[in-house]
Parts: sequence; C-alpha cells; structure tokens
Amino acid sequence: MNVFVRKFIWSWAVAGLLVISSSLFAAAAEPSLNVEVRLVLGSEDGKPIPADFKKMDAALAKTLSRSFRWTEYYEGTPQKVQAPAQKSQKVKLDEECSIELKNLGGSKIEVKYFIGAKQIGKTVNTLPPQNWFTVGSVDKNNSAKFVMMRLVLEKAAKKETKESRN
Amino acid sequence: MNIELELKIQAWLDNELSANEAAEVAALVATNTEAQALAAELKSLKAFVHANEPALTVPESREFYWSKIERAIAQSERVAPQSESAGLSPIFAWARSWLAPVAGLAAMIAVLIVIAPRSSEPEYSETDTPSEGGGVIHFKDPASGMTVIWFYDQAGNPIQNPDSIDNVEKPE
Repeated sequence: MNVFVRKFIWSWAVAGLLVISSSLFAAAAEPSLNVEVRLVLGSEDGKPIPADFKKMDAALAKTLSRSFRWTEYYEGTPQKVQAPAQKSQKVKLDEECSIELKNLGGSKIEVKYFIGAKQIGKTVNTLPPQNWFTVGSVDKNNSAKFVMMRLVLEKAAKKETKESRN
Repeated sequence: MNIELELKIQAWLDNELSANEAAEVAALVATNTEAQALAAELKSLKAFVHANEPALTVPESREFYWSKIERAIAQSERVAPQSESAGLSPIFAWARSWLAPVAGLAAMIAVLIVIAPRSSEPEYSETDTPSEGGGVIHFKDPASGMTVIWFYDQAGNPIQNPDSIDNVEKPE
C-alpha cells in the first residue's frame, strides 16, 4: 500500500481512539455539584410565619418584590447539597415542600418541585455560577413558596467543610 | 562606422545573422572599404585564436563523469535516511514522525469536545408541569441575574405586574 495512504489511515485510527478515550474520560471525570438550596416564603404584611424563618436579605427581597405581589419575604435555613453526577437526590425543605435534584453534568441540573406528594413541575437548567436560580408557586393562605438554588464554588465549599470539622 | 555596424560585421563572420541581415552586411563589406578592412582584421584574428587555442583533453569520456555524478547522488539519497535514524531508537523515530501531527489533531478534537458543546449550552433548556391546566413562566431579573421559574394553576396568576418583567418567556 502507498505510504501516504497508510499514514493517512493510521492518523485517522489514532484520532478515533483519542476521541473515544477523551469522551470516556470526560464522562468519568464529571464532578459533583455543590448546590446551596434555601426555601423562601412570600407573605403579606402581618401574616404569621414559621419561627425558624428569618427576614430575607433586602436586596434579594427587592428582586422578588419587583415582580411578585408579596411584600414580605422570609428565608429558611440554607442547605448545602452535594449532587453527584447522574444521581437523583431528594431535598426536604419543610413539611410540605421538597425538590429532587439530578446533576446531569456540565452544570446542567434537573429540578423536580413537589408540594406534598404532588409534583408541581420539572425543569432542566444550567445553574449559573453567580446567580440564583429559583422555582416557585402559590401556596396556601395566599402566600408563595420559592426554592432558591445556586452553585457553591469548589473553594467555598471546601472552606465551609473545613470550618464545620473544626 | 558606428559600433552597431562593427558588431553586425562580427556577428556576420560568426554566422549569427539571419539570411536578410547577412546579405545586407555582405553587400556593405563588398562596397565599403572601412567595413572590408574590419572584416579582414576580424577574420584573421578569428583564425589566429582558433589556430592557437590549447586543446586540453582528459583520459575519461564525458559519460564516465556523468555516471560518476549519478552514482554519488544515488548513494547520498540512500545514506541520508539511514544516518538520520541511526542514532535514534525505532520508537523515538516513529514518535518523531507522528507525534506532531497527532498531537495537533488531538488538540483540535479536545477543543471541540470540551469547549464547543458548553459554549453553545442554553441558559435553560426545558420546563414542564404535569398538572392539567397548569402553566409555567420563565423570567430573568436583569438587575440581579436571578432566573425564576414560576409554576401556576388556573387558580390565578401570581404575578402582580407582568409588564414590569423585561424578558418573560412563556412556554410554547
């Protein structure tokens, strides 16, 4: 066989092997996502809120009140969730509200939103590294529930783990 | 007589002119005494040089020298690749000829695999609500960058003022 043709076939064979091995490596090395999740209640003036909820950060409350009719916003204790690749994880936020997170890889995450046993909706999104991603709905007594999520950067997550150990 | 005519006479003597030009110069030499004298002088000079030119001869023929050159070229072509790889191990020689193109190709493929799909990823891809009559509204607050996905049912629209949201994208 012509030397040039042989070299051409060999180069494509090597390139093919490289593509396959790098794809397998990329799939195997897909990292876990560290996600901060917090439940936020939207309420109207004077309505009672659960004791373990505190008034929300003013800037975030302003962001929500720009678009929604509720005037008061309260947040529950934030939860840090580690979402391994391709595994579903249920996160209970209060007696009724929960979400199911699934890390689909590449910062893409599937969120199933539940009130009680009922799945209200499902969404697949890329989690932006700096900004909040929120799902929500109207709740009983004319209030609202928002589940806010954001990526916790690897460095911050490690620092927090170290601090909690100490 | 000008220099041009002198050169023409010289060329005529060396048989370098066309038939017409040669005829013109022959006529000139026949009629012009100055041209005649120059032609005679050049003729005698040519004859003198020709008679006294030393003829050097070599013992070997022309073909012998050409075959010698040909053999030397062929030998150098055979020796060059051997001497190039003589000091290298076969693996290194193989790597040397393949590493650069394969590495370049691999780098290109890696860039395509790692960067291209992520750069084209949309900020969100899909949302649905299983309940009948329910709906969903996506929007992004431009000031804070917060993305909100709001699930609703027919009980009522929870948004106070939809016009205040810059980029509401209702599901199809």
